[in-house]
Amino acid sequence: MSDRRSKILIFRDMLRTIQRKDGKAKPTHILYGANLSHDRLKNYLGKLMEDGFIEKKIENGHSYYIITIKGREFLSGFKKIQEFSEAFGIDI
Amino acid sequence: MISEPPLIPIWFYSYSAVVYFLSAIISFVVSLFAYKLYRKSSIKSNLFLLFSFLAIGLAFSALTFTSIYTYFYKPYFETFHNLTSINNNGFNFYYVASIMAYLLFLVTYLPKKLKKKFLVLYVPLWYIRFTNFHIVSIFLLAYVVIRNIANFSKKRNMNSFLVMFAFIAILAFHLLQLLIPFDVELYLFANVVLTIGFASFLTMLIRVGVK
Repeated sequence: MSDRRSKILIFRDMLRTIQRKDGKAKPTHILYGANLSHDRLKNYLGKLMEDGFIEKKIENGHSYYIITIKGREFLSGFKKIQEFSEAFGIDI
Repeated sequence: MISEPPLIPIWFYSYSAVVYFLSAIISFVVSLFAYKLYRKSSIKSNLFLLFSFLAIGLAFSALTFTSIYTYFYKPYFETFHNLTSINNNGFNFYYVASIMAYLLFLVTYLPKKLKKKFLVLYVPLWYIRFTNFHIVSIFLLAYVVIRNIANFSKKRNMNSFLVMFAFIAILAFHLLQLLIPFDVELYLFANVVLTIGFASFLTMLIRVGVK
């Protein structure tokens, strides 16, 4: 089995980090929380915004990422994805 | 002239129609669940499961239809050799759809390196005979069962047990079908085993869905 995290697990870790910060987190928090390199963070933040899971906001010159309802729904549904996949022995 | 006795008592087709119908419905529900998860996760294996269960659902729908047909048109079936084309076509569709489903299960569980090489699903047509179909099914499912036993040994949770048990039950269903010539009553037992197997899938789905 590969030790590399799949895209879906990275998305989960990023969204979970934002949710833990009361739904609003700075890019550096997401970077450390999801254990990502800067380049990968930029790439995945773009994808999460594109899919409507997060939104970017700028306050007092600082950029923040806010988890959307769709993002929260993804996190709550993730357990089902995980359990279903695990039941069939599928790696996620 | 001595007429040959029917292989399976005609009353049993009403029972098997119910079993196949339930199996088809459960397969469609699992397929729908896999589709919803694929939409959310984009995990390719969920796509394989989606099509596997869809194919099984279609296969058992064909069997439901042929069982009902056989039950209501029993005079045509009182002599074993007098099978109608509708019944034959129904079973042939079931054979093809089931083998497709089992091949997709196999692809789901193949190691990634082999999966890439398994680009074209080769469906040999020589299995379209009762015995050959069940033998091929047993071989395909054996690998799926082994992978699920390994998964259960690793995870040790109820959901992985239910999926493993369901695949073992489907495998047992095919094994029992091969033994019918020795004892017709095994047909009844095979269908009971199949029902338990699909009930196991349903239980897993309820457990995952309710949480």
